[in-house]
Amino acid sequence: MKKRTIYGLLALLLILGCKEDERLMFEDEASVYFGAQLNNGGFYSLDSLNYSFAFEPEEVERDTLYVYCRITGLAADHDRRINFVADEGSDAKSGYHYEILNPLIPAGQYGNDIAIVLYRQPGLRDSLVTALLRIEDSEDLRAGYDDTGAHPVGRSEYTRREFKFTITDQLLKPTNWDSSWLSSFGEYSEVKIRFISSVTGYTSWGSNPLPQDRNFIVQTAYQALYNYEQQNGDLIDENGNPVKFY
Amino acid sequence: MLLFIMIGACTKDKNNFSYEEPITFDISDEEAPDVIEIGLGQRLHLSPNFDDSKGDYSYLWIAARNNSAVGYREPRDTLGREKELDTEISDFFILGEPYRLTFKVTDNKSGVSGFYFYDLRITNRYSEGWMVLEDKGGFADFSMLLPDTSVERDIYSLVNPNYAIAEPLMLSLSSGSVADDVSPTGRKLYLAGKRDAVELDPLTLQIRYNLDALYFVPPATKNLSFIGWSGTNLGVILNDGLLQANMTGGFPGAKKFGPSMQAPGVEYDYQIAPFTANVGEYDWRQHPVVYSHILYDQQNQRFYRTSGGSLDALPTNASNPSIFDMNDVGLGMKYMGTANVNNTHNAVMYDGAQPYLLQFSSLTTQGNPVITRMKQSMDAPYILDTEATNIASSSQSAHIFYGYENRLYRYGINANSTNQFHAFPAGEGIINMKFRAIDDNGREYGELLVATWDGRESKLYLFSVSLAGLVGEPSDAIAGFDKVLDMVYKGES
Repeated sequence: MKKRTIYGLLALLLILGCKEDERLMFEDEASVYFGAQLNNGGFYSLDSLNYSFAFEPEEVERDTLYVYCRITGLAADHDRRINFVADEGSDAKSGYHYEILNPLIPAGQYGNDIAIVLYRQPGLRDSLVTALLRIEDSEDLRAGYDDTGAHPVGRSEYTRREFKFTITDQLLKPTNWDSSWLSSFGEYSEVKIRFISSVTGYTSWGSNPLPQDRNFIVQTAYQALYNYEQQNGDLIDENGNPVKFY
Repeated sequence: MLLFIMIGACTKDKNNFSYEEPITFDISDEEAPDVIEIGLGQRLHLSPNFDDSKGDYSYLWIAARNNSAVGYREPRDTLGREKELDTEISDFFILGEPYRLTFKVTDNKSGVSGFYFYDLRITNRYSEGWMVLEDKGGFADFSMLLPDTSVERDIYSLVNPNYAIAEPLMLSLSSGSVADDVSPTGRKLYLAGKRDAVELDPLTLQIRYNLDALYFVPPATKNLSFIGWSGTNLGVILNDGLLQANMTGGFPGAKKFGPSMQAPGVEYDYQIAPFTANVGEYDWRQHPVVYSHILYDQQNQRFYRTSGGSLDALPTNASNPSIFDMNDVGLGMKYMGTANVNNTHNAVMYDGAQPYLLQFSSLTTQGNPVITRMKQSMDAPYILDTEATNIASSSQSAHIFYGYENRLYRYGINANSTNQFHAFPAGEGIINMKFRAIDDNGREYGELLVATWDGRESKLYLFSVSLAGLVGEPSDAIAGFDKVLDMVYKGES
């Protein structure tokens, strides 16, 4: 009797054990993170941005930057709110220096470009404010990946839950001037960079333009300075030095 | 009993084991070229090799556009259901577009299919031949001398009747495909006048862009002396003698021509001669330094190198000063063209009435940074008296061909001597000359196309040139052209 019971149980286990697996489906809660997007043929992830109103005309009082957020999981049939929280160390004030518009993943979507409006406040003429935004859990979406790394993560300093930006109205030496522009334009000066921006229309000094765009900027600036010198003599910078591109 | 239960329990595991031999299809077609070029309205015959004696098969031929710029939902056309294909290229096909032709063989018993693919390119009568630029009352037009020596006349005005180009200057066709993310990737064809130019679709010959549209910001003045591509990654416009470049490469984004470049030490006080020396194929492991594009400053009598971002001097060690100094040549340039040694260039120079031949390479070699090869005074009568358009350097033998008045000459570089090999009738002066190397299924030879002008009419003559540089008798005259200003061969890139 005992043997029959044992054999019977074994048989039952064997019958039930060899079963075709059901399809595996995503069953976790959806989460959201700062994602990468296709741009100019490659994936591009923005973890920080330094914005300056310095090159904008006086009448420009606001500007908008967009940061892409993406979910893990499935799209939903309703809008889902993203919970952005400013780090305690942020001195940029929400509602004063900046405002996040519609922080949500729309219904049916897997990602969204979140608009952050930046305001040109008078105090920015001689200061720089910083905001470090962090995605936290909301009622609709959990906070997503909290990692840095090489491609495909594409984040070096801030995780995929974080986005840092600065706002100023000061004309500051671009952090990449020595590495990216020194060879073409020589030592930095305010007069020099304003001149180049005015003749080329280029103001995104923190970024690295594509080679053909860089060539255009350099050659246009060279020609403009040459023409200026032919008509007016040397262009003198704030330090009393002639502006030269070597 | 347990064994039976175990076997029976696991029958729910849906596997796909099969112990039968898979059905294979051995399909080939050695006679078909890599890319079948065929025109609209022509008939396409294909006979793939497939042994159908041992089974029951059905066949299907389908064609679909194979352009990466379009999606995968392109319409398909069924061309046939027989083993051999015999079909007309209908208006389903679009001129200039690439197509993938699929030959599908299905085993009717098992339903398994095998496939064989062909690549098609839809061409027209203008796909190959000599394009001949003519001055028609001060406006540009071009005809084509086709491989069968027939002539299609006034093609530009026929295809583009509403955009005349005055003060015709030149035709230009890039040596290979250019990817600028503005036009479809392919060869660049320009028709230029001194004040304007157009980029043409190489197949349809329709205007794609005018000169202004080729620039990021069009220049205020236009005084062209050259437009074309040095290799396939440097577009060159010489405007007021200054270099305006378009640099392409593997990077994304639209690439267009920029403003004039400065030259080292002289800013904009230079004049580039209308010739480029670019690098062709080479083994990068053998050549540590490559000068992709070399140009000559006629005013300051020196060479520059450029990769598209700036004009630069060549390194001091690139020159053997006992031969000549690339940065300080001290001669005027008459002509520059490709020599018969890979990546080496012939430059016909002058000092007063004395011609010189300079030769230099685009490449250094291991342990040797010097690229200057030769400088010799030329025993080449009249070469400085003729126009640069009447000089043609051979890329197959150590010769330079040129014409003066009605006489054709061949200058032998090694012997430093010249012989006259042909004379046209008196009054029929040589006005243009081009050399092209031909590889006809392994048979290599050259072709010299010579244009003459007698004050009323231009005629063309074709000369066959052996690999040793021996020139045959000319073809019969091909007449009926207006004054020929330029000629360029359009064929497979």
